Amino acid sequence: MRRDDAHQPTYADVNRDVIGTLWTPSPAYFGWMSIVGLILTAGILAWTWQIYIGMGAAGKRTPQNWAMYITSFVFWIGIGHAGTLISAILYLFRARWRTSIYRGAEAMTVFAVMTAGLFPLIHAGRMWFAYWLLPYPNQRYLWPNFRSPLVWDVFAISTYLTISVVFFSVGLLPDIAAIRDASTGWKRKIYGVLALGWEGTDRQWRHYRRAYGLLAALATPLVLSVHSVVSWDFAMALVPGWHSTLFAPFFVDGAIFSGFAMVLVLIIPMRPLFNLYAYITNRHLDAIAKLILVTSLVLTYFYVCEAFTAWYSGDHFERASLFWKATRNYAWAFWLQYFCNSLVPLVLFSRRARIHPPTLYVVSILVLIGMWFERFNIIVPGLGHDFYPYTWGIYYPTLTDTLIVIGSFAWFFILFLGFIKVMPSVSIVEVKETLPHPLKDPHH
Amino acid sequence: MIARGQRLSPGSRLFLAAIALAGGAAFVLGVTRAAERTWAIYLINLVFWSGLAVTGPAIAAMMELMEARWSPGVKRIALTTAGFLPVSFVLFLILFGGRATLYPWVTSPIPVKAAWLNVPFMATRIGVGILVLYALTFAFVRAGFRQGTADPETERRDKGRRAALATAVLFLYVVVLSLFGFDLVMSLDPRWYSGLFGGYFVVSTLYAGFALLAVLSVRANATGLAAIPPAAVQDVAKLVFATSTLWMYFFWSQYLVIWYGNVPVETKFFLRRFFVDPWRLLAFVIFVVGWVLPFVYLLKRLTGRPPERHGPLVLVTLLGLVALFLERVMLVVPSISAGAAFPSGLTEMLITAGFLSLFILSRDWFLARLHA
Repeated sequence: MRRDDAHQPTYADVNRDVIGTLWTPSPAYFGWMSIVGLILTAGILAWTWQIYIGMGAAGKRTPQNWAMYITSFVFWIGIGHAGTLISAILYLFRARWRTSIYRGAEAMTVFAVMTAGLFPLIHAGRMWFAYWLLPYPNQRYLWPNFRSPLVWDVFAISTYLTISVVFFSVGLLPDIAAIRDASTGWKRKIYGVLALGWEGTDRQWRHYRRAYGLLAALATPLVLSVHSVVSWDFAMALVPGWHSTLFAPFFVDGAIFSGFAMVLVLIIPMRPLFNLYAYITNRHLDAIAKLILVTSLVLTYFYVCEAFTAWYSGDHFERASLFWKATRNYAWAFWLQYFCNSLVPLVLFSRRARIHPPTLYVVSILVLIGMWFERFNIIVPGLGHDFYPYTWGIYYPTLTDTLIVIGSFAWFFILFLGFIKVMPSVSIVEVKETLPHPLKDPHH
Repeated sequence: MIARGQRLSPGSRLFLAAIALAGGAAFVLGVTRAAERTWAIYLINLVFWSGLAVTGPAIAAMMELMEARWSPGVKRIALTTAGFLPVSFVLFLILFGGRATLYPWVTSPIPVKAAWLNVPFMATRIGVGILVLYALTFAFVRAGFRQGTADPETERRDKGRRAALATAVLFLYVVVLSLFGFDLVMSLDPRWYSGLFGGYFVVSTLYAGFALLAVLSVRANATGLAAIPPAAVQDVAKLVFATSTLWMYFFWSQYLVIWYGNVPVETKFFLRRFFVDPWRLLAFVIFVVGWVLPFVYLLKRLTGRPPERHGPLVLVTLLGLVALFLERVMLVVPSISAGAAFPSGLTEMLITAGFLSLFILSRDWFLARLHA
């Protein structure tokens, strides 16, 4: 049934359609899993190669030690933002359209942060010493500088991951119970354990609602805090192009922007794949597209302010850094960023574009490319042209780090593809709340 | 719908007009005797009250674009602050007379920034920006008040026009308010810069706008000017909470980066304001009154049933407005003179009271024209 001619689903339809997404996968699903699995394997092999050879295999040399890994780290943390925004802030503001997309967005958040978390490990090289990154007290003299924004990052991101996972898990409980009740055999046992004894009693619902509201309130400040802290990894340094008061809100806005683009990349194929036209409607696409448009305009405002300040400061190094980015080795990446993030989303002023899935898909992919390059343009050209000519340097990607970055996308998608086959990708409970209550006798 | 005939009494109007005249006289006298202090308080009042006037319609424009249906009454109340805009435009023309007193780069240009900081360019961009913004705002306000009075076909056409006007108003609002921040305030100290200052100015003005909207909504209910349900007042309160927190976030984003970077050209701005009295004390007062108190009270209003009585909300938002006015004082005065005292003289009080009177009178005039 296509959405355009779909009738409003009933409670029984919701159970059937959503739980139906979990049963035996189609050949197309296995096909996608195989492709993504192959790419992930290539990424894992590249990482193994890097561990064997050393960081030089990834093209890391001064001044470009951060290069693609930290670019990808910031990118994936950013992707995680839309989930919290949809789950927490739109929940508090009673935006009911969020109900059929928030589950996918929350899963996306958790998996994106898990993907981001890989990069400090990959970047550190000897990942078996990864526990050195943890900010435990100073007895081993391994963590001398608690004033470093990198330590703030550890706290901010681990808090974010914890709250996101708890929020996600709590929201899943009633739905897991619904699947348990619709399953048989070993599946029933597993979902029974995961449902934590949920029976849907009044008392359970009362506690559930209170917990969900509190978690939403707790998660809301995290939307601002996480990417602000990530931005300060850069802004606290005095590197030209980095030391900017703009960075915190600029990063947060960019994160929400790219997060919503990723939401579209995930939910647009889910509609035909699982026949979810009755739940993910044009209204949802329109609302998300509007949010992408607004965040793009705000981002453009920050781009203008950033360039203006670099010039207005009168600081020779700030001006030189901006000029170098815009005209020299990385100019293509610089202008690609503006094209993808500022120009392309303008098509969303048209309502027809906002509800046209192919257009939305292309826009979303371009936004994701643009946002990855935005982080690249901060990190690579920023470090490549600072105060002293002898520290200048150009970065050339290698097959190893390119495969690892591409592999991270495969890792993310494999997690998501796995998720949509074991858990309901649309919230059964909250979608039902938006529907009229079923009547004993529908004719009265 | 806004009810008819709830204007100020003739006595009140006369009283406010007298204060406005006294403010004008104080300004003229002040300019001849203590030009720096007088122009400083004039600038503070001008950006504060003009910001408030244009933010009401900007909030209505946001509601228009988001198709917010939670309270048409609140949207109409928001539109009424536009009454001050013609007055504001005239007052901006007067500001041109104070350019050499306020802005050191007028008499001692900074070569590296001269392409931006020169009188013709600045006067043109601010003048044209304000003119176009105010004109579009008035067109939007007119269209907004027509809403719901026409036949369905006209209404459908009007809806598209309102959406186009709302988009243009919001776009220009952000641009012009950012210019207020960058040009009118930041360039008072032309060596200091912060990329977020324009955005900070927009966000702090939005906070002031929502705070005023909360006060006006409650007052409109009390005087019978409108019937705004408690749930809608609660929603305005939530937005005051959101903007107040955003304001503090934008402040912190600047402060932390500058403090941590410890670059003299940047830190001097905060050293003057946070480490030297009377500004140190003032900064503390602004922080507590402008953010801590609203945060603590409004946090309670994020959830739960909306109360029927709104006295505490009015008090908290009025305090927020006072704090934001003081914040403008703190932004402007130390930039003009490092050793300047807090502007609490009779001249400054009268000029500020004059602006307040003009704001109330012009809104009253606007309401009267609305019902004419």
